[in-house]
Amino acid sequence: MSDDESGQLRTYEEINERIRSGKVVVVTAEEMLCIIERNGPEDAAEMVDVVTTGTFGAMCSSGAFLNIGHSDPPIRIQRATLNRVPVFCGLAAVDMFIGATELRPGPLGKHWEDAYGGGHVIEALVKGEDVDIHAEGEPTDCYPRSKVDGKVRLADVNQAYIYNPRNAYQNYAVATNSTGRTLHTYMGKLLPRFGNANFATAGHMSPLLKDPRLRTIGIGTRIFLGGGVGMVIGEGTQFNTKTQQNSKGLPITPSRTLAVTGDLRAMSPRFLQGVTMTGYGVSLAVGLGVPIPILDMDILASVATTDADISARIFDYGVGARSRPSLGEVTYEQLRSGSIEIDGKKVRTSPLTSLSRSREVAEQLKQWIATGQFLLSPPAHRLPDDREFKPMGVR
Amino acid sequence: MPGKGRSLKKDLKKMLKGKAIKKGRKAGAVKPARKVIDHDRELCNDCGACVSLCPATVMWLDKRSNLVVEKQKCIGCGNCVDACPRRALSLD
Repeated sequence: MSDDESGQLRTYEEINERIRSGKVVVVTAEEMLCIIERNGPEDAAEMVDVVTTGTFGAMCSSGAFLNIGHSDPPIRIQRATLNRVPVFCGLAAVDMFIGATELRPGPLGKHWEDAYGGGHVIEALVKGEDVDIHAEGEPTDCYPRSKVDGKVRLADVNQAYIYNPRNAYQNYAVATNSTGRTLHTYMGKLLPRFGNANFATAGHMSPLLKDPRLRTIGIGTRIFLGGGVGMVIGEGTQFNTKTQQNSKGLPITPSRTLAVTGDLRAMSPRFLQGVTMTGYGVSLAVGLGVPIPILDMDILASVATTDADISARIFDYGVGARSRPSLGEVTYEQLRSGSIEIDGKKVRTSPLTSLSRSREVAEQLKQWIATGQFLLSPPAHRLPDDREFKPMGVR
Repeated sequence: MPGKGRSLKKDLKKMLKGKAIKKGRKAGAVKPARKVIDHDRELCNDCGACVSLCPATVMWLDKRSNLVVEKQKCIGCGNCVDACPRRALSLD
């Protein structure tokens, strides 16, 4: 371990060398908190090379590109469905994109138990199941065929990779409902008159809250994605650095995000699951983990944040406006306790992010690093530190 | 007539509390109509979205954040069923 005048404790090269030689010390974000509490920050920084983070929850801006190969005679697909869920075909002849929130057409009414969409198709593919395909295209001289009907599975396709334009939100809102009726939202079921409050990040396990300025996370960073190895490919949509911070310097509203990709064929249905939010729509629950190298004491200070240090704003989802009024600020420690106080009333809380599955993500990533299967990659390009999330500019 | 309606209601209550019904319940011939929650562990991913919705506190997250469902305490309201993103909860 080096400890030069700049305060650097170790480099990526040194860490990767230790991974190759089996000497790396890697722990999960939760284990690191225990080590810091027991041994103090200096000893912890000297002892630990890498801290693994993890999150598992619905991430709507997700989907997968597929290339299903050419039929004989070939077809230029212009419209297609997978398990009757429409896919985007405005690409080359047999390339398509299935979006996580695309719903199977048909009246749902009150029968939300029948809701099925892109997230469920992606889960079916990763499970190795047969998926019904229906494709159509106008015949051309080079693509004479007009229709394909049949079944396809992940093993049959040429390329299948997850491409998620926005994952791993750095913090999120706490949602509640002041109205007199139950609301069904993307933040779950919200009971009337502040009957409950839902929140949606993994708190002290959450990747972007453990490196809030993204010093170690940028384009080219290797990550855990859906049970396989993925990569950060850029700032996620709605990336925002101009948000308010709490006294610990952590954002208290939705801030930075990641665009990520990875090979679907190496992923697992345990960490990619179709989900339904009744009355709202369908989505894909994604497991995502990022390794944080302890390069210096500043990074150590970032990974030392606990649920008591991270806070989020409570918003009234009963207000149907872009800027909802804030009803206060609470810490993740309070949210995890099972209840918070809003206007003097005790309100029960529910997470929408599975902390148990987030822990599994961090644990799996730790095992990969400890056994030399996963090397760390420094960002090839840093993500912006001056980006504002603008409202809709349609005139 | 309102008077007659009230008396019919009383009669019906009396009948439902009657010995015949009690005997039938004891013998297993008359079963309570109430359904209770069924939790599919395979489908559940322990997110906890159901926890704050249960008026009987039938479900909670344990120390490892795994969902625990105490079926015996369920009052069958069904509040949690449509809130489960994985459709792991049903009334059975």
